[in-house]
Parts: sequence; structure tokens; C-alpha cells
Amino acid sequence: MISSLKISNRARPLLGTIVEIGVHAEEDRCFHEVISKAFEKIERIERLMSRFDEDSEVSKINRLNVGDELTVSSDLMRVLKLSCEVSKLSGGVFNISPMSMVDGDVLELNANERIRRVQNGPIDLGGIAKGYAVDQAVEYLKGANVGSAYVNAGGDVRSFGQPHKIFVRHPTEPNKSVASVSLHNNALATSANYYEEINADQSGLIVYPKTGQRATSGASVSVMAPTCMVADALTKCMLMLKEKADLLLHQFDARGFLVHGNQVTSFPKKNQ
Amino acid sequence: MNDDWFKLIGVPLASLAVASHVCAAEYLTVEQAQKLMFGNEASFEKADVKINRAAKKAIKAASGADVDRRVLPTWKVFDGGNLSGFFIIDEVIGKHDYITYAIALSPIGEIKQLEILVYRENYGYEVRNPRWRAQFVGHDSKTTLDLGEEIKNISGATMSCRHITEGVNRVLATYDLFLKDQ
Repeated sequence: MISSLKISNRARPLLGTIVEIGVHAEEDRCFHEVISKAFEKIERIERLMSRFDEDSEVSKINRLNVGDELTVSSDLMRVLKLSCEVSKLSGGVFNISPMSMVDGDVLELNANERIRRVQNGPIDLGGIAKGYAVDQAVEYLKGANVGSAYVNAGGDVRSFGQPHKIFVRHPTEPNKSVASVSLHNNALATSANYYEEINADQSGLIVYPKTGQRATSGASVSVMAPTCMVADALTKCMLMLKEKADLLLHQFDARGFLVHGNQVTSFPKKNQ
Repeated sequence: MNDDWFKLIGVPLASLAVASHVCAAEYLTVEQAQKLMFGNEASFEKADVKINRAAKKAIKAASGADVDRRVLPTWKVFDGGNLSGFFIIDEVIGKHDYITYAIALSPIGEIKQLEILVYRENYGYEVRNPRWRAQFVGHDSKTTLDLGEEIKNISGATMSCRHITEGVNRVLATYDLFLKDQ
């Protein structure tokens, strides 16, 4: 009976946060190796996609000159493809090259995992790679015949099997919770300007680079989606687009809620 | 699309009341951290550093950090009979958080690893950010860590960062004064 299962969880510092992996099992002793291997999956994604690691594929891309080509891993290509898709569907609000200040993509994605740099500007997958790493760990655990587990990378969470309850912090009072979400075979990601000093104009630190528009300060967005990569990416869009993100959420079978002050607004709106 | 996929906590209709949310995470026991940092084969010999009034002054002078503790829990670590480093438990208690962490030092006092063992917090989640913590690695007591200089600050986690930065400086100074020549 699943409710009688014991949880075996461990945590390691990865992806710029603490990553927790919990496995529900009758006997925890046999799952330590599985959990270790799930961590290794995350470590691999971090090595590929960290812009702080000069040996990562992202750093190699950032050293390319315009016109240069590179063969990348299928993992990176998957993340780049979804990034492009979300970028297009969000009208450029989601952008893996926010500092480039150029129109259009900085990379051309071609067959056989080949990419070509078409414009200058560093890329940063910080808005999506963490979710992908969580997904990879989850997929590994599923393949290892784990019946129920969760992976939580600092609030980017995905679970399968037994429901996993998540509490969402209040954006301006992060010592308090405003909502709970029960995950069941899906993912939740939250973005907020937690802890920031609120500017006099109530603007926040998350910036839409093309216009310089800032996300509203003191707001948080939580998105539930089938995968953590999608949830991760869509939080950034929703924080900026708010109700304009409805169509985007529909397209990815996602839903979210925004907390601002004393208001909680869910998206997409009903009857859509 | 219905809204029943999430539950608001304590919401009286139009206004939003919030529930207290204190995060208490216990990631590793001391024994687990020891094995994690030095391996299963390492042996640990208790070598606590007693900190009297004079020692407090010396540590404060060397590190700039206040010293409240009378004992710094410390282990000498041996591997195959050879000293492989020091394992030290420290804690920082701030306005919003209570953090117990372990530091693994090499035999020459360089930080090999820093792991947070217990974290009870209202604010400052980012101090568990490994990129931030990784900035400590390789430092020794010859360089006093300074928030914003050697150690980058993290927006919004200033207090916790400052506490851990001070704690690490304090531990390095303690090593330099009392463990270095052992």
C-alpha cells in the first residue's frame, strides 16, 4: 500500500541550490544507489549547461564567433529547442541571451545537433536548465523502477507516484506560505523577486531586456506543467506577461497563479 | 480551467492571510557529513578547540568576527595513518536563521568543502546556493573573506551570507591560531 511507504530523501548542493531527491519505498537501503545515480544525472546537466563552468557546452557556445558551428549534446539541443519555442510564443519575453539586445535568435539550430552562431551575445540557460535537470533525474528514477519519488531543485519540483505537497512562499514575506500545491505526476516551478529591496516605483529585478520593462516587484508566479523544464521557463514569461500569458499556458498544457500583495490570480482564466 | 489545483492558505475571501512558514531542513548528520567529505575509510579523532577569553580576542582580531562559542567542535581526520585534514562544525545564529554547517579543511588549512547540515530559517534560502558556497573553497586564513570582495553577496540573502562569511573567517582564524601546527 503506497501510503505505508517510507520516504528516503537526500540532498546535495547542485544547480545553484540544494537539490533534494526523495524516494518512497518499503526498504530505503536499496535505493541509495539509485538516488546517487539520479544526482549524477543532474550533475551531468549542470556540467553541460552551466555558464560558470568554462568547460560546459554553454561556455563553448559563448566562445563561438558569428558563423562558427558546434555539435552539441542531445540534452542541450532539447533545451535550446524548447527555449526557442517559448521565446517565439512569448514574443521574445523568454530569452536565453538577455544581454545581447538583438532582434532574433543568436543561435541557429540545425540537424544532427549542430548549432551555428548567427549573432553575438552570451547565452544563459539559467531560466530553463534547472527544470530540465530535474526532469532528467525524474526520468532516470522512473526507468529504475522507482514507484514514487520527487526531485526538488530549490523550488523547481517534479514528482511521480505518491502526491507531493509543496508550499509556496509569499513574495514579500518569504517566511510565510500563501498556497499549497499537491503534485502528482507533474511539475511546479516558482519565480519571484524574493528578498529584494522594493524600488520606489514598485519595479522588480527581473527585466524584459528588449524594452527594459521590469517585472512587478513583490510578485511571485507559480506554474504547474507536465515537465519541470516547461514550468521553469513559463514562470519567467508569466511574471512579465501576466494575463497575456494565458495562451502560452494553454499551448503547454500548463496553469499558474500570480501572488501580488493580497491578490492571488490564477491563469489561464476560466472559460478559456 | 478550475482553480482547485492549488489551495490558498488561510484566505478569508477577498483578503489574503498568510501562514507562518519556517523552514527547518536537516540535510546531514555529523557522521554523514564526515563520510561525505572524507570517505568511509577515514578515521576521526576529536580535537575540540577550547576558546577562552584570550582566544576569543585573538580570533576576533584575526578574523574580524565576533566569537560567542567556548568550544569549536573539531576532529582531526586520518586516512591510512596520515593526517588528511580537519572536520569542523560551526553554527551561525542570526535574526532570521539558525545554520549549522561543516567545514572540511585540508592539512594545510584550505577549505575543501562546506556543507550545511541543519538550516532553520525565515529568510536567506540562498546561502545554500553551492555557487556561493563554492567561493569559499581554496581560501585559507591568509585571506580574510570580505562580503562583496572575495565572497560575492547574494541579493536578498545578505544577512545569512554575512553570518556564514563571518563564521568561515572565524573558523579559518581558529585553525591558524590553534590547529595549524598540530
